[in-house]
Amino acid sequence: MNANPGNWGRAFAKQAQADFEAWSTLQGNKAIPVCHKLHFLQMACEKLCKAHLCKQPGADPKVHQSCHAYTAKNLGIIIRQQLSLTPRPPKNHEYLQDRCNLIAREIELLHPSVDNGGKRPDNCEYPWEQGGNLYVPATWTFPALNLLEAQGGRALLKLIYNAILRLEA
Amino acid sequence: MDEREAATRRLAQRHYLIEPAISEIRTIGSGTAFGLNDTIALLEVNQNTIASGIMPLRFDAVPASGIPFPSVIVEVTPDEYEQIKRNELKLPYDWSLGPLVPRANEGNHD
Repeated sequence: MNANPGNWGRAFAKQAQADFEAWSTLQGNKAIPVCHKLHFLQMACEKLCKAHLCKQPGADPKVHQSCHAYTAKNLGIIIRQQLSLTPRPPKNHEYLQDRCNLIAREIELLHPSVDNGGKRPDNCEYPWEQGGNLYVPATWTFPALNLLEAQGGRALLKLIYNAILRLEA
Repeated sequence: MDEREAATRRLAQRHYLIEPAISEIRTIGSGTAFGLNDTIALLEVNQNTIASGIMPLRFDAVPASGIPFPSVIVEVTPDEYEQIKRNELKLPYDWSLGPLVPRANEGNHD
């Protein structure tokens, strides 16, 4: 593959697909902590956003590789585009878009380097301290990201996965 | 109205519909580098987005969905939009703000 913007986009999308499918495969395994499952979802969403950023001629993929604060800003735009291009978009598209904006921020906060100015130290990789207590990702439930049971969660996950597949085409 | 202009309006209207927090959509015109020929380029002002500068996202054409051109979306906050208009925040690649694409229910679209 030549290193042109289109191929950079496809390369990020291919890795995002692998991350997303790893998340999906782990769903049925109760022995795997939620943090590890969500780690794959966080990586998939981040790479989906970076794929669209890298596709723009003139963008520098190296700049995007080193930063992790892309999901909250860009996932909502990608889902909006995905809904716009769906032949029969779901009737609750406005609700889904609203939910997506909230969930995108929660997904971004899973990365340890993103903590909302110290207010949200919870993340899916490293233990954190809050209010004098110590927390471990492997025993944390991440209630805001229980997407398989939350209203609109499954529809959003499908939109994310379809957006990844569309990029690879 | 040519085919690209029609597709530009179609895509903008869908975005207005899906995201009510978008207050304004304008087209983006190209300068010399990384031109936007045969591309739909939209700047969308969203009250619900995060201020993080200019991040152009590029999407492929999807002719089956009525969008037969690649598209570039730049989303900004209302405050960032004011900065762009005052030239304090610059669009990349010599891009410039083009005409407003009004909501379909806001009157004349031409």
